[in-house]
Amino acid sequence: MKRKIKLTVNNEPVELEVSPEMTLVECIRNELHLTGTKLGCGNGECGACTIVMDNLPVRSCLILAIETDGAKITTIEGLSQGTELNPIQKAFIQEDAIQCGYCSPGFILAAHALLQREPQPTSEQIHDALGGHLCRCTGYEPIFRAVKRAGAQLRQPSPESQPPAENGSD
Amino acid sequence: MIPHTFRHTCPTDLEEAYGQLQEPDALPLAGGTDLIVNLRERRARPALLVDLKHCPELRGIEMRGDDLWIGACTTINEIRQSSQIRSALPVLTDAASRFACHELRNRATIGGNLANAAPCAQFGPPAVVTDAVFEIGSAHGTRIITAHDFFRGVNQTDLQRGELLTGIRFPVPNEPSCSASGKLSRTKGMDLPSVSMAILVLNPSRAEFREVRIAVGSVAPVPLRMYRTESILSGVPLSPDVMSAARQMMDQEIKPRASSLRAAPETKRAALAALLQEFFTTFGLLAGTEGGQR
Repeated sequence: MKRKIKLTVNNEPVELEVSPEMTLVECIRNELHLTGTKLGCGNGECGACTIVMDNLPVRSCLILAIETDGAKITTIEGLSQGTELNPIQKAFIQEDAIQCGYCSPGFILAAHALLQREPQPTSEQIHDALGGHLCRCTGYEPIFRAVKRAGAQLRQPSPESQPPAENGSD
Repeated sequence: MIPHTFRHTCPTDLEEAYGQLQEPDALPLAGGTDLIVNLRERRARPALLVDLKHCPELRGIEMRGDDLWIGACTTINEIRQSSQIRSALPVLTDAASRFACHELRNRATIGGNLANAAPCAQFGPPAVVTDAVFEIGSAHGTRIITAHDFFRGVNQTDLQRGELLTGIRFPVPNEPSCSASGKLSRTKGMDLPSVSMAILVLNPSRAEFREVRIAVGSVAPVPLRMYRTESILSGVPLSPDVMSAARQMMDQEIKPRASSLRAAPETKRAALAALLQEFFTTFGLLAGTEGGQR
């Protein structure tokens, strides 16, 4: 039996009817057409479907859409400002932390949540925050460097919200 | 999509939840990190999911008398981040810290972990080693049961139809104590324990009053106390001979199956011996003389 739910997705209020059998990742991709969120293993083991819900990173494959009534959700589409990428996204590009890209939205949202709660994370905290995410391309090191770099950039209140040029090594 | 249809309700207090759980084929839904996998794989086919996340009585961490009370729907990250738990019973902080990964810890609950009663459940050994008491409620009233009596087998507990685990009371020792838990898993990152151990030592720095308690997980259908090993380690100075005798006794007390999912029996035995040694070293109770741990 379908039920109406109201939630906030990337700062926009959303109302939709969902059946109890629909998972959140299916709702995000198929109903809201936000296909940046990826479905990987479907069992909570790979991290590809990670989104931020009420300020906490969670696995959208292990949540029913109907459970999210009243929730505030951020997907990868919610991080950039128009065409201006978020500093974490820029750092992923600068550090070559993306190859096939399938795991990237999950990693970036986990990093986003980490840097919100811990603006100066230690290496241990970065490993802990990203430890549940699988990447089969990069070997992880560029991803950790990107998160460190993004953290350093986010801490600088300088108005360098320009596309990469000043600090970029490439 | 979950491959069968069901209804979903969101009770806002326990009485309402108890009423709905009376329905045949109703299942409680907490964090969902196990249940939704089971739904998808058709291992669970409820007609109704009763979502417990909006019942305030099921959440929280607080002292109730001499006990640390943790609501069943308290998440693993809430436990991990609690300074109150860290100072009272670090064995629980350890179990939470090495639990799955950050995103799962934001959803998974201690009640779900215990009520699922997987042999590898990470809070099983800490509950047994601390002599925790489980609070159970239903439309017909409430009852309490010890951790020891709660676990009945693989994914089997003493919970009856319509009953709910509502909270866990962990007695906090009055005397000086140290506690810890640890696990061996196949990867350093996110993996279920191949074997796990929880330890609680009362009066650690006074050998004649020292009481050692040990519980292990993933070597039997339910978490096991190592009573005979405990008695070797309690009340005497911890010499290398005593440690050796304890390891041998523990080897006799556990009987890991050859068909075990995640590690061979010899691996489990070796890992438990290493964990035991590691705990006592960390507590500063070895190295010939008695350490000065608080």
